[in-house]
Amino acid sequence: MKYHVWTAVRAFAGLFIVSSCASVPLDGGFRGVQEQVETRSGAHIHWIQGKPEDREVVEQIQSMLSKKLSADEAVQVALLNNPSLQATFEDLGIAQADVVQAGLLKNPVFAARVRFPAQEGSNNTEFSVEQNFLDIILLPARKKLASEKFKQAGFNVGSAVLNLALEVRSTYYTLQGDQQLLAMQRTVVQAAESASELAEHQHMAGNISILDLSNQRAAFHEAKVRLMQSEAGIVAKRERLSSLMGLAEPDNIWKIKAVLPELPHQEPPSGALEDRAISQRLDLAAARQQTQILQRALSLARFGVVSPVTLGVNTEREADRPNLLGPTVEIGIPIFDRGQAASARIQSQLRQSKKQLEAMERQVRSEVRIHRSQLLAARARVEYYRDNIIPLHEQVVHLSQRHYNYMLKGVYALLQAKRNEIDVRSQYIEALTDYWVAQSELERAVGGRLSTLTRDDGTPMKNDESEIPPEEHHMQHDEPEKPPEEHHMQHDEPKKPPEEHHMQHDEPEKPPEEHHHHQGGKPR
Amino acid sequence: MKKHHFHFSFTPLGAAVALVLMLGTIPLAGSGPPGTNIKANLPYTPVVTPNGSTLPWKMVDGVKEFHLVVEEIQWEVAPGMVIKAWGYNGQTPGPTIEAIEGDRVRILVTNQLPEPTAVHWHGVILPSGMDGVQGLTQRGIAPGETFAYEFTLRQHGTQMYHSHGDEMTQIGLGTMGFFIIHPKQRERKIDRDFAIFLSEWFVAPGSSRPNPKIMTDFNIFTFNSRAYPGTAPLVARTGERIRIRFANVAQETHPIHLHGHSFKVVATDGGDIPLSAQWPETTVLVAPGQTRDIELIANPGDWALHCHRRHHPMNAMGHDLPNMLGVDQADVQEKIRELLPHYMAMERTGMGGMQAMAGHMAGPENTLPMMAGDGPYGAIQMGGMFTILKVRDHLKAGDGAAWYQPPEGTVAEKVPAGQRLEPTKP
Repeated sequence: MKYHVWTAVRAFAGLFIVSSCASVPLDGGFRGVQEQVETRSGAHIHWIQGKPEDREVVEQIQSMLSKKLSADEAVQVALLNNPSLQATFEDLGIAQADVVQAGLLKNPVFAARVRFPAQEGSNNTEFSVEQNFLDIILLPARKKLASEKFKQAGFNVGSAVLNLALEVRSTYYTLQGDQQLLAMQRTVVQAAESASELAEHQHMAGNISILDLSNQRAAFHEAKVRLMQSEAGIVAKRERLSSLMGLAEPDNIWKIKAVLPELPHQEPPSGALEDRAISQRLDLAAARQQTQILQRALSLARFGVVSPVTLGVNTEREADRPNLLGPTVEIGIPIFDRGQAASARIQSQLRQSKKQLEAMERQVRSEVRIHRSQLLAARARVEYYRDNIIPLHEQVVHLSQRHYNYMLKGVYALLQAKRNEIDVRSQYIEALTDYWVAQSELERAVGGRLSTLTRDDGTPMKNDESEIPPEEHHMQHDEPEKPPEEHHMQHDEPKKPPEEHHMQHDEPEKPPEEHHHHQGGKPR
Repeated sequence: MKKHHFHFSFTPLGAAVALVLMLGTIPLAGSGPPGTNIKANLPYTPVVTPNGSTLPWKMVDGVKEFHLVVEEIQWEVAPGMVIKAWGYNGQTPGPTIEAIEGDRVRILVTNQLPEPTAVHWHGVILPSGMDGVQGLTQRGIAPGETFAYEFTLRQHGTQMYHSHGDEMTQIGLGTMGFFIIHPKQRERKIDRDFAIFLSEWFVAPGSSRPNPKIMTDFNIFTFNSRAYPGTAPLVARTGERIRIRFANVAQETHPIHLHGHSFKVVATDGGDIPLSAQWPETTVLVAPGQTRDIELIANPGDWALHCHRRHHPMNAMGHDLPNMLGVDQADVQEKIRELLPHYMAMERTGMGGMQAMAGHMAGPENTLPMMAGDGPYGAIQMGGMFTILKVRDHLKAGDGAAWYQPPEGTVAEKVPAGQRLEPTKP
């Protein structure tokens, strides 16, 4: 009898070993996500798990925060530091645990029974160990199902990372644009303040009424209150970016680069983008994975036809009888529930998920087209401001200055021309912000950065950061530090008409006679 | 002279007419056409039209025949400003017509304007049908047509000719000229006879076509369609009898003032004023539609001759500008320069500094600075209706260009330090 007991014990031990081996390496999944994210966003993620590498990451974050952050760096800080993202990483742990769980057999059931004779006689004892053997058969399939789910969890985590990256990027550009607008608004206030001060002096000199002065003062204070409103808006935007980057109050001293990057030279072609989106979007991958999962679930459900089979060892002892030892079998008879409902349910789910995937793919293609057209529209506006409207307003300021020089326009009209120029520069910045936000949206739709794409000629697409900020083109000659030297003014005149030259070359002692023309009338 | 300033629009017809006239005048050169070198042959002192010219003529069957071609021209108002004017024979005012009382004249008028015109002989006594009023006394001269006006001169005096079709546009753009009829015999000889047409224009700064719709706010004021410093000076010898004829067909009255002289208004476009009725003046008011002749005996010196309306001896300036006189702008200037690096505060002490400023700061293209001119003692700070009568004891070539050399002790000077007098108490 002893022998038989041991055989049974050994058999269970074997099963135990088989089931407990079915585990996944702990951060294998995370490394996969890291790779996916890196190829798509160029950014690195780190799962803070109290390891020595954590320190390096903290240092890396500190060093990025100590300089003016680029958009890429802001994204990087967020990906390393955002606590919600770190929480999302735990989804991998959870899915991993599910994989382990799927590899574990149900524990065997030990049963003991003692029966006492109603009258005289010895006790009847019965022991059994039972294991549901269907479980053993299903184990590999369940394990596969769990690991497909684990893969899906990886895609979902990756998708969350990329969504955060997008949000950081568009928040960054919005803040950057707003900062530039704020700087321009300060200039507007300065213009209004100058006008107001001039009016004060005019009033003190007795040249204007208190009515005219009040109008100038009011215009100044209105400009100032609008500036106050914008400054408050910036604080809120900063706080938003700060929170996305997972920064708490003491670290909140970061700065971002002052000016929005200029437009890249070229946009990637539309067709390539759509195909790329279909192949690289991680939420699509997760949806695709859902059909895999359901496929697995379906094959698992097909085992439902096989009713539970319970194998066991039963030993029964009666005092005056030899011990009985023998196997037990329990087999469900699949007459009523042959698993057809469960299977049909999954089949429906499978078809549903395939349709959903198809819908999603179409949706993705549509998103790519929408954001691309928004991108192109924003680009067109930026270019129109840059190439037409801003140069015209610069010309207006330049010519207003000339009219002012000849006492044809007053100082207030000149200041107004400058304010109008600042207004269109602000509109340009708004358009450029729209462009970069649209670009971030397009990157989200495509499921990765556009910078990794190549142009038609095979050279890599240039992206932001590397470009010269627009100020250097448009604002240079307005730099306040440039001294208003006289000779300077004459040199920067575009297309000076020939008449002006000889006015300037006129000798002071030149008599009026020299100027006059003896009219060569035709009939002489 | 820069060649591009005088690009006359020679049309084939105009050129042919000009050629015929030039050929026609050659045989008569000795006997008829006026010119300073042959004035000995003329029974009158020929008129000098500063910045302008006199219209040549030829005798055809005992009739003095003139030819005017009216057309669009490029006209230099002063160096630095060329406008698209309408004028006669390439100029505005058109060349001065000179004839003698009793002459029979025929004036051919060729229209090269884009619209019909007619020429009215302002103040000339003539048959109604020759009066040149489009629609009233004649059919308009269509573009490309040539009309002949012919009449006998029964008076003498300073008359005018000007367009009498779409006057607002055509006169507004410069279609007028002098028609001077000399008496057969003049009682008092005139040594020098000048003719100055008074006009005002509106040319938007930075543009080149006068706006004929402007009714009051003009910005360019001219003598013979030239603005100072583009006006030619009048040159004379001390003691000479000078006649200056002024004419006006514009919108505004112009009180013309001559420094250093007392003159008499000797004639109007209605005729001579009897000696007994002439009174002394230093300023003569010339209203639109009038001519006034003044006479004076020249005193030595450089004498300003200008319209006395304050804005008229001045070139374009804005009239609705903030008043910055006496306004301290030093601190604000720095603030504004941060926005507008070329900004310069002006006018705190007045507008005189404007001339120096305009000298080194650019203005709009094709626009004259509001004041200009450098004299022997500094900036003259004038523009528009301003010129100089230069009278010398001994005339020599180049006097028009030279400044008067005053005898010693006759120029106002700074009182030396220590000699300052206490102001006389009332």
